[in-house]
Amino acid sequence: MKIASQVVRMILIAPIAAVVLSGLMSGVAATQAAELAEVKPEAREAEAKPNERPEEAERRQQLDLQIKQQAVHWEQQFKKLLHGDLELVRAVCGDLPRESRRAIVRAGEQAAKDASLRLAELQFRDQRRQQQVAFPWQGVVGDVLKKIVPPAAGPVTTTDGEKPTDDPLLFFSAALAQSLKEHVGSEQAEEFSRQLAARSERRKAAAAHAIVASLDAELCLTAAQREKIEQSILERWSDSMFMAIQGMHTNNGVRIFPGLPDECVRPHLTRTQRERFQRQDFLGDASLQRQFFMQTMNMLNAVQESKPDPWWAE
Amino acid sequence: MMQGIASMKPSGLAVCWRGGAGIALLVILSLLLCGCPPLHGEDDTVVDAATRQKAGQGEQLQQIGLDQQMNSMFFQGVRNPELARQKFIDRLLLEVLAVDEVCGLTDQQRLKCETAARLDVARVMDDVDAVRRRYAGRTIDLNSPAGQAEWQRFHQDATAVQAKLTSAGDATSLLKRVIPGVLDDTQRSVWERESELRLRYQWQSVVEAGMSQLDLALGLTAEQHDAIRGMLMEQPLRINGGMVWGQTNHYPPHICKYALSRLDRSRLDALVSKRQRKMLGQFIDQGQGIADYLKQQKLILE
Repeated sequence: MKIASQVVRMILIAPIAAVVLSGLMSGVAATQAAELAEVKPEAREAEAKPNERPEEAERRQQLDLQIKQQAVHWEQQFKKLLHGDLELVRAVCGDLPRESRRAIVRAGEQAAKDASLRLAELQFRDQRRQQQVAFPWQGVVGDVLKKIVPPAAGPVTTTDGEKPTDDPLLFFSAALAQSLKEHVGSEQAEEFSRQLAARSERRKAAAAHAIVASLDAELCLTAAQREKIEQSILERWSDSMFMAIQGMHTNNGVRIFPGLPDECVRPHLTRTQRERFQRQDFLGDASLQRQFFMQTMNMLNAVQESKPDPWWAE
Repeated sequence: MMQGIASMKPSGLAVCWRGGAGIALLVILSLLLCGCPPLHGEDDTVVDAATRQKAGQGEQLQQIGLDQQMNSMFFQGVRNPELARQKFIDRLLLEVLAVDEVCGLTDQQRLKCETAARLDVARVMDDVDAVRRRYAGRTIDLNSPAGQAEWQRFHQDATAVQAKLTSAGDATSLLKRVIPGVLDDTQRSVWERESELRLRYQWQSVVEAGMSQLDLALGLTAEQHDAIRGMLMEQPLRINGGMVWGQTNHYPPHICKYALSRLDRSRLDALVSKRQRKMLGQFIDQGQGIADYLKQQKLILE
């Protein structure tokens, strides 16, 4: 009797499941198509939306507003990074004409705005994605979609426009380096770029050290193993690894090493160490970016607010 | 930090529900048609029993069962004494393997080191078991002042147990004291060198993690960075590397800030501009502010 009842239920539920599944698949296709053409956050709001129903337009505008409000909140934090970079510009360039100073600060402030908007977009990514999916059942299957639909926010690119990166600092270095090229001598602009490149190398070294020191605490590495793993990390570097400087996390006692390929570690371990070595890197690309931005924010929280150097506004 | 992220993430539920209200209604209706509750199975007996017990749950909210608390607070991550014991012994045996890898131990030397490691684990786990026996089967009533006082005592004991477990194989351990005695002169000199390199690596990693923050906040040039880093490397702090770099590594920047506060301030000030000096001062103040906590947690060994 119980089995018969289960069979009847299965028969009744099956058509509904089929409808849900077909809707899900069409939704995935729609989402993927929408994400193929990446739209800048600022442009998204102004963009005309043909066939958009009034309630959809209202929801979209509400979300745009929420994102902008959140971005304003983050902007103050990102400006702390800007103050540091402007100090470096001043150290490298010395005296600068008033107009140049103002133009450089404007470029930096715009970079702070862009970075903040980027973070807010990443933060509201799931809601944005649900709005982009053009079928009405996304609420029910939203969690499933999260797992199988690629992220809406694409990666930031480096100054050479080629290699994707997760590093929020890039907004400032790229904007200020570009502005310096336009407003000060090329020699000073080059020196600033050299300083930024050196800083990036220092941060890489610090992150590699943090990863290896964490592995060492867990696996008792020898000096030779530490050296080999560190070398391997630097050779296979990805910007996600910068996260190690801001602190690593654990999930159920297992350490998360974002962006760290197994090949950097396992070949250099003994058999027993390999058996003990547990790692997780379950974050997808967009989650990784969001995490990276958030960790940078947390790092900035430790830095107290400072007044901008008045010299720049003279 | 994770909590911060979670709290900032807006709930998606409302959005999901608005969009999916129609289909959700359809699914609910179909399930009603099939005869609720959905997905009814053998486990439902347990679920139903739990539902019945919910009525009295309000009263039990302030009653804390310590057996469960001990497992989660003492053995973070593994939540099980046997797994914790195993993790502990595995960690120390890895240390013995490292000595073997670097110095080439004889069977007898290895056996002595392994025995010392096992004794370390037995000693710590005996202490932990004593605390566990003290609280086994007990429930604390947080509504009463006596219960609250007992909860405080329990918390203190839990912190002490955690410290014992995370300081596995530290400088005071039997293993650390046995190793030099077991090794011959050549091996001892090799192992001492290896240990120095490890300490240096751990300290260098702490310095670099802290300098990364300083670098960005102050806008240091490469020359300024190298000069300050050099000063920090000249005056290393005694740290518990296993704890500093174990689990989460949120402490290194704070330890570095504290180390900055111990440097010659006039030398330090001479390296930075007047504007940078102000921000540097804030970092140093933060380092001094957290020093007691770092020492209390035995992250800094002073």
